[in-house]
Amino acid sequence: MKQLALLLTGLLAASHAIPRDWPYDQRPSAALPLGDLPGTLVEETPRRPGKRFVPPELNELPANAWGDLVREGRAIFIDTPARAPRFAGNGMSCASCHLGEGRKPDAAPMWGAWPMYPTYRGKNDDVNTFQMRLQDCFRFSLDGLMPPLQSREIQALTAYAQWLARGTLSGTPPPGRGFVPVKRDIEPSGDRGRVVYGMKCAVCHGADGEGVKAADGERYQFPALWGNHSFNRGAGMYTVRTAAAYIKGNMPLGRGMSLQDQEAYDVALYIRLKDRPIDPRKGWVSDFARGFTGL
Amino acid sequence: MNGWRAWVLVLLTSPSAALTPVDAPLPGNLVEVPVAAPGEVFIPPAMVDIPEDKQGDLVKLGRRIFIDTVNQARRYGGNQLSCANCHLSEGRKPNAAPMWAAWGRYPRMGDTPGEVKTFESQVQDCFHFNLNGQSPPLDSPEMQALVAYSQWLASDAPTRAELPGQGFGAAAPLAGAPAIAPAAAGSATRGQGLYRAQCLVCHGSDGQGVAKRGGGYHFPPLWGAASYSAGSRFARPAVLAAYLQANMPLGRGGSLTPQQAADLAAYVLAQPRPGDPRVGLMQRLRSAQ
Repeated sequence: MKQLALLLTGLLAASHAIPRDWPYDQRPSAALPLGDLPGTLVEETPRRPGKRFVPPELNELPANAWGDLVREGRAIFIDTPARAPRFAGNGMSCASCHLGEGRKPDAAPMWGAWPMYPTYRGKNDDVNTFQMRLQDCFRFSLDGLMPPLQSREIQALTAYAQWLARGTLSGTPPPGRGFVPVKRDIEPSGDRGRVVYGMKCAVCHGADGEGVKAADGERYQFPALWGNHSFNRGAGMYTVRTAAAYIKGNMPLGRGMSLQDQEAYDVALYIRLKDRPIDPRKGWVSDFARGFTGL
Repeated sequence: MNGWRAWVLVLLTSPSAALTPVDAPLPGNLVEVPVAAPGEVFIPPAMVDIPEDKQGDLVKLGRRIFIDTVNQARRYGGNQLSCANCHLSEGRKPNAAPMWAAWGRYPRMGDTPGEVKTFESQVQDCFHFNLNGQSPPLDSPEMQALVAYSQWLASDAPTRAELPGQGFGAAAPLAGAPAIAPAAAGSATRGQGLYRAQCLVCHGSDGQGVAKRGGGYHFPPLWGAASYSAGSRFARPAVLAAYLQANMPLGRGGSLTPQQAADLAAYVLAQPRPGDPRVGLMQRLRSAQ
């Protein structure tokens, strides 16, 4: 199955004849169709009907220094290991989770995040600016280093997010921000999660959660879900309910809202119970003790 | 006469009366004031809408810094000016570079080619040049509080939109307001006469302003050691003239003609003020020769 998926990906790339070293700045946006659609299309019933915010398209950016900064932010967003190598830790990019270059609703889109910051976060019991939130993503989800607030990477990512949020109302959550709501009173089961994982997730993320690397062998086509190249124990995805909300709204890729809440919780717990990098806020001793205390 | 004053009136005048609000009769000799700049503008939220939580605390701190920079951001302030000395009405007044319009417009192109200004770097520039002080670091509580205050003022304002009343009103003037023409060449001599007639009552005969008792200024100094530096954007005649025409005399913005504003700007900028902090003393002496 994995070979088939790789083959299909390769065929897709070949059919559109995008050269490997194609500059990201000239690649069409994810909001634009890549080619002509076939005529044998069926209408699919929307799984989560409702209104969504539509961010602007890449070709609307002007050719000036600000437009360059936004394009650079997009390049960092979709290829973090190559464009922000000094801060990226594992092989993942921002867009590994923030699907569709940070545009997809219910996958924590950037246009949903920008207007809500600065905001209070229980994670550090303080008011966080958008830039501090980006730092947390690098530190926990990318298992890397926090970029300084004045670094080019932070400035570019901020400019990209703010541009995507063009027209959203400051302080008002646009529909589709964050993740989909999931029930709270659910007892997850790792055993059931293993079964669901094998049926629905392993084809892309691998039987051992190792993900699938892109053709260059460095970046991830499908991110690793556990192990040394995944997010660490400080990331938001390490929380079962957060991960379940993400999984329910977005997974399997392209078929979001197809899992039950119970299934999403089960898979989330199964992933959580695996080994991964430690929480950088804690030391190795407390991580070792975690095996005894269960915390 | 608004509600609470009516209440007070009732309580003071008829102590035996029941506590029912009474609309006191208005005096008969009222005149209609013509609206100088009609049109719809964004209305930022009121103070009572600040939530009672940590974010609300940061917003309140940001407001205090904004209106009392002298005391609340002492370590970065240089002269005795506050943000609200120019950003009138606590950063709310349209056409006085209101914060609710500025928040959504950054990052944007700077003045020098290839420069992109973020909101934070613009705040730093305000401290550096207009307050003639030090740039607060990006992670300083002062910076975070000012960002939180601006974002709260911009509650429900659209991101990256051109709003009426932004800046000094030049980019998107209010509907019906006179378009601000590019400032003509001003005459400092004519400006001096205008200054004496229209500005001196608040800003003083020597532009020294009126100081508050606890530090800061009721009316800011327009030149001299306590005023903004030559590196400020207000040291450019066109920018200062646009601000003057939109906001001055206080409460009567739009009453000056473009030529009058240009004359006043020429007069104000002909007076001595602190030098550009980017330019060293030797360089200043050399250029003076």
